[in-house]
Amino acid sequence: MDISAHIAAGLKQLGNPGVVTEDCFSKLLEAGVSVITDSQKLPNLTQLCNFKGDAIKESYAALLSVLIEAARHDIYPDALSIILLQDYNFGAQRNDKLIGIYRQYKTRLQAALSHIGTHPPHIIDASWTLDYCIKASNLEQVGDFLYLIQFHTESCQGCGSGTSVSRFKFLCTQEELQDLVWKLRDAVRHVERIANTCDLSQRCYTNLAK
Amino acid sequence: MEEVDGIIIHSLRQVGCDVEDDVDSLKQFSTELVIEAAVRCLDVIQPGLGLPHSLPDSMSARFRVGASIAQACKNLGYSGDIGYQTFLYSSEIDIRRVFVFLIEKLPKESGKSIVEPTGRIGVLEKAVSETVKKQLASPWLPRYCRRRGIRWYDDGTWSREGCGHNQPFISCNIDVPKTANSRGLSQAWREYYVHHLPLVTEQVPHIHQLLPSLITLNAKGLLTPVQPVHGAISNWDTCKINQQLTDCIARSFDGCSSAPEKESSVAALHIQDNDKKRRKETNSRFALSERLQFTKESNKDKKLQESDEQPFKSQVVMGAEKKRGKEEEMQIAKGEMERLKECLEALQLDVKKLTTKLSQITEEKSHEIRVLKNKEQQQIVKKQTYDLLPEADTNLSALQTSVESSAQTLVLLAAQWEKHRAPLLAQYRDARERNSNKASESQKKVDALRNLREKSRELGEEVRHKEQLHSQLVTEYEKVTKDINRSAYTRRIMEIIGNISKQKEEIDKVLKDTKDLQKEINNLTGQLDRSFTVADELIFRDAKRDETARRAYKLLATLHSDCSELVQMVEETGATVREIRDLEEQIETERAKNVGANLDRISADLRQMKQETAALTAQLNAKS
Repeated sequence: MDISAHIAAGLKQLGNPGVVTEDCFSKLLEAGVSVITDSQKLPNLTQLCNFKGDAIKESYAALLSVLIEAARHDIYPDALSIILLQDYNFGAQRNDKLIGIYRQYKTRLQAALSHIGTHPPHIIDASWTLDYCIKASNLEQVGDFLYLIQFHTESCQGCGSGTSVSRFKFLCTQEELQDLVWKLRDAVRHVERIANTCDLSQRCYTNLAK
Repeated sequence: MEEVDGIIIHSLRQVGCDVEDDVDSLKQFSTELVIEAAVRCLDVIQPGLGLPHSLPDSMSARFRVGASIAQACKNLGYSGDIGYQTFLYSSEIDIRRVFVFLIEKLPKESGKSIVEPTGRIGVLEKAVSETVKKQLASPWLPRYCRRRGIRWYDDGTWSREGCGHNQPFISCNIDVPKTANSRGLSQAWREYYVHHLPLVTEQVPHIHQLLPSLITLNAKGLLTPVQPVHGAISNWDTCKINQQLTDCIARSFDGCSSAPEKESSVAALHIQDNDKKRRKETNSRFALSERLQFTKESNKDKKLQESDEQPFKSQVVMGAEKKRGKEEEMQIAKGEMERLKECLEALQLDVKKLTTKLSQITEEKSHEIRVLKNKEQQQIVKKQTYDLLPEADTNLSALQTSVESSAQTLVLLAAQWEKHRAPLLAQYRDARERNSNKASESQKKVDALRNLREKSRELGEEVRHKEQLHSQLVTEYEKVTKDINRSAYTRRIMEIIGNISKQKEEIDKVLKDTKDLQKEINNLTGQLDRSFTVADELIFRDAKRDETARRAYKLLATLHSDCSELVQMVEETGATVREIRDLEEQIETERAKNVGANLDRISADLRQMKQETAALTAQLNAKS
């Protein structure tokens, strides 16, 4: 985990009891975690900025940055504690508090980070109707099954919260549907193989050991 | 037997039998305990038998349970005599034999050696496969049941399903106050930082852009060269070397990350500007045309007034023509307006041309003025020289003297300068040397500091690693401790074997002794027989002639028969003693089977059974 010089300066401010009081530190920590994990509500921190507002703002930014960077790089809480104690002169109490919060919320921080990114649309549901085509304008007798399939997909929107659910339909014959099913089965089998690779390799290891 | 009991009880406890701590021999086992232990062993050996762990109340059900356990044991290959009575009316020896058999049949714990994959790729593959397995094992969850597109498991882990609630990585510039070098900031900046700059969370246009913006902020800070005033010393050198490179990267990065934002803002500004300009233009044009129109109209009015005066008199006469005339006038006015517009445009062009010309001319003028000034100065110099010309010699000499004197003063000054310069230069060199010394020293210190920091970090890492190793080893050790029992057992077995061999030696010794004794006895009997026959012959030969010899012979014969009788008696006594001992042993074994108590129990159970049967019959009768 690399921390830039500005953020490092902010962290030093955060660890300095003369600038950020203990009470203020707890409030900042609480607010920071809730901002990252639950972005629906913004905590009000204006009354904290009355005394040394610039330092509070700087340390708040540094706190948010360090939480995000640590979660992004999947740093162990113990390693983070060593970094904070050694490089940023954190007191033991403050360090324990921050590490405790980090330990508790690490997975949720990572979940919040996972919201970043763009993906192709994701199929969440499917509905279908089966038609039997008896005859067409140019053919006396057709006698084919026609499957009308509708995929419900969800896709991320550019900005703002929530997702958009869209549908797209397509028509296919029996053979084409069979093809699709085979493809899907292939995909499922592939995923299962990935899930079992660990066991396979383990079995290999044990065989070798014997 | 104590040893065997201890091993059996330990094994039963491992199987999951609830044997109390103060029980240390099979003698103390109750019927319930025996049944439970046997059933648990059978469960482990052959899962799925479905035998009850406790005895039922009904006597016949008890009998059935005992019989089925016995049958299960027989199926496993128990060769001894076994039946329901073995478990229900237990004798210690039978039970022991059965338990020894069952514990031998217990499946050995196969050495499950799970080899952990090593290396980063192996660990990663394992994690991936475990996650996929977990996701495959979990049931399907509809979209609206997921919390912001994420499924949370009970153990606190999560997996993202679908792509709901995703946000693209859009970052924006956020401003963070820098208090570390606040001395270099102006008062106004500090004022702004303290009172007006919003928190980082409020600087982003949308809260979803906070995380990308913070990540970008940190990355940008890493890529831009660090300020020497407050930057970390360790970074300074490398930054100096790579300054140009990082500069370049940072610039491109800057362009990359915030290009859309900036561009859009710039574009917005442009648009705004253009808008304003256009508005202004339109305004001005509008105003102009209005003005023009008004002027035209006023002109028109004037003209109309002028022209009106004439047709006014004939207004009544040419009522119908009036309209046409007005229309014509309108046409004319329009044409005039067009013409005026063109004229105006031409005039505007002229104005433009003239302004450019004016600027050119002003430039030329300033240039000319400069030339004039130069010339004036030259003229003054020339005038002075001309003034000096009439007394050329004297002036020349005066000039020469002044030149010489000035040269002398120059030399003097140079000498003085040298005088001042030399010590100053020396001082400067000295100071510079000292400075460089100091710099190198501080550099060394910085290096040492950096090394120390690196070392401390490495040591910290090592400590953490070691602690992990320690905890791992502790868990392994805890796993291993179970095997201590085994070693104790082997030790005990070895002791038992030693005891047995010792006993065997003793038995051999006793056997040898007995054989020796037998041999001696045989020798003695032989000797006795031989001496008896010799004495018999001797005395018998004399007995024909001598009366006393005959008496002696008779006495000898009675002595011999008495002695042989005595020997026979002794032998018989020994046999009887042996028989007594055998019988005593038999009594002991019979007593161990506690037949009496079992008999009592059996008779009690029989009575209970009879009662149950009677009750059942009564019920049957009552029903029928």
